[in-house]
Amino acid sequence: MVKKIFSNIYIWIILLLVYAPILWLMAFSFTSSKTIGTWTGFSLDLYVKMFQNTSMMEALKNTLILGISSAVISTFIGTFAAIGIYNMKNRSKKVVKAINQIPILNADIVTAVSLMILFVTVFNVQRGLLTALLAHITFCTPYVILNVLPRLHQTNNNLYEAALDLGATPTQALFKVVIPEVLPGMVSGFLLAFTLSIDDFAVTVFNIGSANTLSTYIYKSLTKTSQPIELRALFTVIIIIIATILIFNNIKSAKKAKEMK
Amino acid sequence: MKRIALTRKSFAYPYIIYMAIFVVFPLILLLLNAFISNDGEFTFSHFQKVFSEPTFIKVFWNSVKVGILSTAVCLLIGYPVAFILSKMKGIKGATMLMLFILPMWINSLLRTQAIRALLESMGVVIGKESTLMPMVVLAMVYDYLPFMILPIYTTLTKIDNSLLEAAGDLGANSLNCLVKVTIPLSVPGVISGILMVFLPSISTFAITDILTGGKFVLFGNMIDEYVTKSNYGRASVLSLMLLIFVALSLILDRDKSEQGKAGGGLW
Repeated sequence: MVKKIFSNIYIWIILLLVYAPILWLMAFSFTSSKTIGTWTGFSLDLYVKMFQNTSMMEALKNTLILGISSAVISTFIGTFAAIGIYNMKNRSKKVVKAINQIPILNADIVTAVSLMILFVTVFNVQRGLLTALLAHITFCTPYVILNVLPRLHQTNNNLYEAALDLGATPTQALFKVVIPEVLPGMVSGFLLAFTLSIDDFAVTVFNIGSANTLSTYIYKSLTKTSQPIELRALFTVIIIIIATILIFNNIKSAKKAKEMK
Repeated sequence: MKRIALTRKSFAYPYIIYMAIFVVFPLILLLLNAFISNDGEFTFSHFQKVFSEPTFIKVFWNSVKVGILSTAVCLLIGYPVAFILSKMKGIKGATMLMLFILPMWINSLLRTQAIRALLESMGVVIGKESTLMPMVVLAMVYDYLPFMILPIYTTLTKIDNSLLEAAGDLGANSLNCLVKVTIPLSVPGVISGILMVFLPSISTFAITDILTGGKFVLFGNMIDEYVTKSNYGRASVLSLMLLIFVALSLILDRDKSEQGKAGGGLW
């Protein structure tokens, strides 16, 4: 009993410490004071200012463009790759799976620098949204594969064969049998890719040139001496979006766990 | 008639080509850049230049110190959290876990800014020489704690309860159970937790920039600096050194790649 109380207290203290800075900053997005820590009354000024700040909105737009397109493309490439890997011989499967782990385990900055050297010295292109997109696809696709592959292992292989025997073309069998089976994995892969893309900083900052996403915008303004105060509003909005995606995803998987029982 | 024109193995080819161009080839480029001089000859000069840089030793020690300290503090705080969470059941356990993991998905720049704002409101002056290191470690712990909790939690929940019961039946008290059963069985989780905290904490440059205004230099900051100066050779040398750590973790992590963990565990 004492042990239980003690561990509950411990958990709540740590949780409080984890959330205190976040909630503190969020709270001060609802006041228009210059410095965080002095409350000058409730106001939504910062949210209005946020929408008026064109470079911030530009960064938001780029973030969403990058997030959605890298999620779509990596889900597409990754799903087909997973089907391919699933059907590979043991040896090549191992090699491909090991390479798949590289972008996941690699330090962000190494991925970032190596891609930058590729774009600058080999492709010799101006860095911008397109190079950033290529870079994002590089680190998102492996996660999609990790989400789709276990699904394939759960699918009954005979279903595909049966569909072929019953006269379906391979394409029909693929879209009517295999894809529906792996769809949940594709959805979580997609969401994960999206979150990783909008969250990324190091790879983006080296490969996006003079354009900005939210994280590079935040970095550039944080390292300046004076920061736009509407950053607080932006911060709050981002956290709410991410929390919503996570809670949605968790409720979904909790429901599924219940159904399985 | 041959029934399947598209053998399904071929579905992976676009991906394999993509990975070859954007993962494997860039790593080879790093290697080439590190060993080849501007005139295209094989050289160790980039290594020599980096190692003889007066700040290099300091940066190296700073990184190692910050990395070890942050990892140790994360482990000390995170292990008990993971342990207590793993004992919680049902909705409560799942909710608590999610609360601990959620910050992992908030941009680390934003979290760093949040902790800086809180510290500043508490009257801490940013950029004071004596507080640089503790501040950086504090921010790292704050940013990377979920990465320690998650893998440990995962291994702890996989421990077969009957092992603990058996230990209890054979006369072990709860401390003995913890030290002789639970902790040894959770070692794989601890290892991946350590890797997931140590590597990012020595390779970040944004956290130190935001918290110390560039006064505290880590490995990542040094790479960033070389890149800004377009000195790709030296940036590659440092990147290669980080890659050695990565390769090490790839070996340590190899057994687990089957389960598709590392980062994606929450999903």
